[in-house]
Amino acid sequence: MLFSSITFLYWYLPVVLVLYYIVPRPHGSLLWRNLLLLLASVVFYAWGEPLYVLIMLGQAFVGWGSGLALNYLRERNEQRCRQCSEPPQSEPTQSKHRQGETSQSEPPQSKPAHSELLQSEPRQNAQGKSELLQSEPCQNAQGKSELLQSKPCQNAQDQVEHRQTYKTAKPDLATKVVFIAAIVCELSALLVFKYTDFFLNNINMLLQSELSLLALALPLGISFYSFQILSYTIDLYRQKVSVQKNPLYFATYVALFPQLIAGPIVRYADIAEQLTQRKHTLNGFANGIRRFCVGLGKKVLIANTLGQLAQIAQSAITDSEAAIVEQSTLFALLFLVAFTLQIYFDFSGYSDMAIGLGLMFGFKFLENFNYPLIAKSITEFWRRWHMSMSYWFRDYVYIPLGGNRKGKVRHILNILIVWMVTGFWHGAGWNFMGWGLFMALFLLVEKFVFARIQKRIANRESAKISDKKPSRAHTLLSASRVHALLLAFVSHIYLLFVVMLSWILFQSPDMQAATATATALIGMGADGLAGNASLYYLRDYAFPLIIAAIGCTPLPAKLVKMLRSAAASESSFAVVFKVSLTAVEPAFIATMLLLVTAFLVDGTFNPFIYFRF
Amino acid sequence: MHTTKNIHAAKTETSANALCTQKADFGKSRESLNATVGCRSWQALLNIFIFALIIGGFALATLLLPRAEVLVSERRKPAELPTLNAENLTSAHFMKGFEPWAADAFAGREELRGLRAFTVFNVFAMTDKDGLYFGEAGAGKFEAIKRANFIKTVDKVEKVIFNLNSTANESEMLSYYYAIIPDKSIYDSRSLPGFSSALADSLLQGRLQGATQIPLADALVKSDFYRTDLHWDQAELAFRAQAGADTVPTRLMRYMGDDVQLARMRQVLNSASINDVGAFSGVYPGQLALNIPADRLRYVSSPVVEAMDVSYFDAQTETFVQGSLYDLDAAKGRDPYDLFLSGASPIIIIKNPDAVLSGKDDATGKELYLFRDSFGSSLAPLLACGYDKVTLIDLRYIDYRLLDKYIDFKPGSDVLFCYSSQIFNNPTVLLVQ
Repeated sequence: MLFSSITFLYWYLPVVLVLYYIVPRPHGSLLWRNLLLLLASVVFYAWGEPLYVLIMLGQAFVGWGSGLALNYLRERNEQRCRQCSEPPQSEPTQSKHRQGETSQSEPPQSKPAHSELLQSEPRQNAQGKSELLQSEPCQNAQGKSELLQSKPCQNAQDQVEHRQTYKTAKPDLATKVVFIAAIVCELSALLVFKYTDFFLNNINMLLQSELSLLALALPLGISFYSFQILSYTIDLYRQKVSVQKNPLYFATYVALFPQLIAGPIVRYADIAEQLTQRKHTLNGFANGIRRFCVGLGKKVLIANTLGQLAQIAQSAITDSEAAIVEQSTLFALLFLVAFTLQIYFDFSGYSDMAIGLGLMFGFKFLENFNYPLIAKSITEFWRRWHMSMSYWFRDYVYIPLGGNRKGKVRHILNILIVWMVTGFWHGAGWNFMGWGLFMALFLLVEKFVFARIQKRIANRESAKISDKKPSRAHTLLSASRVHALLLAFVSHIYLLFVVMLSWILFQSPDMQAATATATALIGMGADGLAGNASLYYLRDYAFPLIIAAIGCTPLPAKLVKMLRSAAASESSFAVVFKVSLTAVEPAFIATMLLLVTAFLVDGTFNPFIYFRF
Repeated sequence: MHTTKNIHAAKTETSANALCTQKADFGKSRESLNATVGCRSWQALLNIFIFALIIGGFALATLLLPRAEVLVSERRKPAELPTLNAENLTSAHFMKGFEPWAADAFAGREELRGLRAFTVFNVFAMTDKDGLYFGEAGAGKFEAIKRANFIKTVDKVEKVIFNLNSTANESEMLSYYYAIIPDKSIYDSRSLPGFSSALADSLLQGRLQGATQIPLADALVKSDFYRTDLHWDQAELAFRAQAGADTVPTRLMRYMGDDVQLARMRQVLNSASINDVGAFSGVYPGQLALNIPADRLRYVSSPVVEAMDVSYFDAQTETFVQGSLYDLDAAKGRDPYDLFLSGASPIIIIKNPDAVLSGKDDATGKELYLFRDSFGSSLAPLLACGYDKVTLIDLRYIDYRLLDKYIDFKPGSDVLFCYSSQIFNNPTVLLVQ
């Protein structure tokens, strides 16, 4: 079931909301509400995948069962240590930071390694541990709704507490065996359903064999919920979270419908407390509504509209059987621009809806997007785009591989591996792997080339300024500011260009299509720079493109913030702003709901790009 | 229940804040904070109320209001809800059918469709929606040529020609012609991405070699088409012919007939009168959900036209039954364009008694076999003015292998394949295997 559907909006959601809020809470327990959420989530999933719901529940059972087993083994291990009157095989938390520790059993505490993958500011590497842990999520949450600002910091503190509380003993062999078995089981469904045919195809191609393909339909959201279960098992093994003994609560975590199909990838550590204790407030619910409506608008009004343009343009370039065939530079550009905006509004809109729905049910999910299209480098882009996935790969793949702690060659290799896996996660195809490596290439260039150049220039300029007389220094400072502005502009253009180029690999069904798009882009297509059709569609979609281009920046949010500040001020116009704000929000919600409903009732074009992942 | 508690709590909070602000010793900042908190609670309540009103209101209205049996503006029946049974549930057939049913049964569907059209055309400032556009020639649908489909249709036409030739000997050969009716988007000055005559010509290179192509693109102007429908206006074609223009019927006759036939046609057209049936709103205003001023539904009449003898093939009895050229009852039905020859029928024969029975000198003895789609219904009465007999064949409703069974093709006659770009883009509709 799609959030952006009549079925969800007008049948499923009202029924679930009403039932949820009339279910009693004996002694404040959320048991019945969680049970209702679980049942509702099963219905939600079964609506699209009636039989595959068993796979999802089976996976949840495996995750829960392996958690119990790991916990039992850990307790037994601790007990044995105590009985033998030996000091437990433990060590103070701080000692785990010593250099060279690479065991997978160790938690990912080495902050510089985190930063290497996703942070660019070297200053932060020097900060203290707890600060480092919270710095990034906090930064990413800034600028978002007030409700969401505090949570990441709280989560980071929780993580530290968990670590201090639960990290007591090193795992024994049995624990390691159970852990590996659990990981294999939890990955098996994903591997079978998503990757078997890819491997069979390649074996057939290499060995000229004729192994028959499984041709299995991909269970919805399997990439997302598998990763969530994995995060629980790994964190439990690393003793970062406590075990969840209640299967109902664990199944609720896995199946929770707001984030089940397309994320954000919510880690158990981030939601464990909310499963048993969460607040349902009027403001929280209202904020949830607002966020949900923002997401609906982004998805249905903008992403779907631009999706049509992307589809027309791509088929015009790559499909000779399409109604409109025109291999021109303008169409290639239109495709790349429209797809960039479509995928952003599509996915971030869905994340907004998920976060909004979570708020309506009392949950606070982490942010998943932070205006990625305003970034000035690929490194920054990935700190802002699909953050829950980026952090997942950072913490569960990159750090265990050794991050940047094993020398430059290994560091480069680790980055390549992580991004190849990231690409592969998006789809079982060489093009996705190529897309991941394409991203990795630019990350490496930024890390090892651009950063050094930038540092050298900065050093030279600061040296120049300090050498000169005050008046001359002032002129140089101004010039430096201009230079910085120019650099920011060029960096932004570079980012957009690289990201758009990357979609050629990402979105092309085969290499032939990718080549056709690239050829058209550089003006080598059959229709040169532009044709009648591309000019028509440029005119036709000009306004939606402009709306989307503004909408993907923080400008609208800044405007609202300014209004809020004005309303909270003591100026004589504050009342006017207050009244305006009071009227604007409900008007916005009503407009979004009515427009989205109109588009859903009348339109048939309603794809969701991340469903196939 | 819990919401009520929250609401109550929020109200209490608001009142408390209000009380607090009344106390003089509180500083301005405190007052401001309280006001903000209170304001937010009211704001939250208002937001929740609006959300509940819209979601709940529409959901209840959809449940309680009676469902339309026909979606009039879209000229179709609403989607049906699949039966709720185990098989449909496990196969997800029920779920897949639920969304279209829910969308079609949605309360206020028409108004919401209008809202979407307004947003697309006025807010997004676009000129098309779901492949339908509103341009200088009114509303229309982009019918850009799909190369593979176009070739398949041409293959089918070639097959029909081959089949007709295989049953006739050399001296009895028929004369073959074909004409493509262009999509009216080509007459829009903004170069809409619709039909392309140049592309059609390039795809026809080396094809249909035994047939003569009759170009129609330059014989039409945008005013020949209804602004609300895809079809051409028969009266407009006749008007322009009266004014001496080379319009579709005269263009076709110039290629297929001789001077006598052309003169006969012109004579009838010049003396024809135009009858107005009433307002006509074609398929597009409903599909676009736009308020487009209605066209007029008109037909050409003259003593010659009125005397024409029309018989329709009845597939049930496999016989021909008498009918009329213009069906005024059908004009009041769901598709008023059925005025012309009562709409779709596999075979229709129009005899021109003026030529056959009167024994006048201008009787040509020539017959035309018109392979046609719905455009042919309004064109045939005009073409019949120049022929003794016109047989309309709609291959969408009869298999081409059955034609010999019901039609006796007269040697030396003309055969015209006259299809719109829609048919060329949808070869599967033609019953030619």
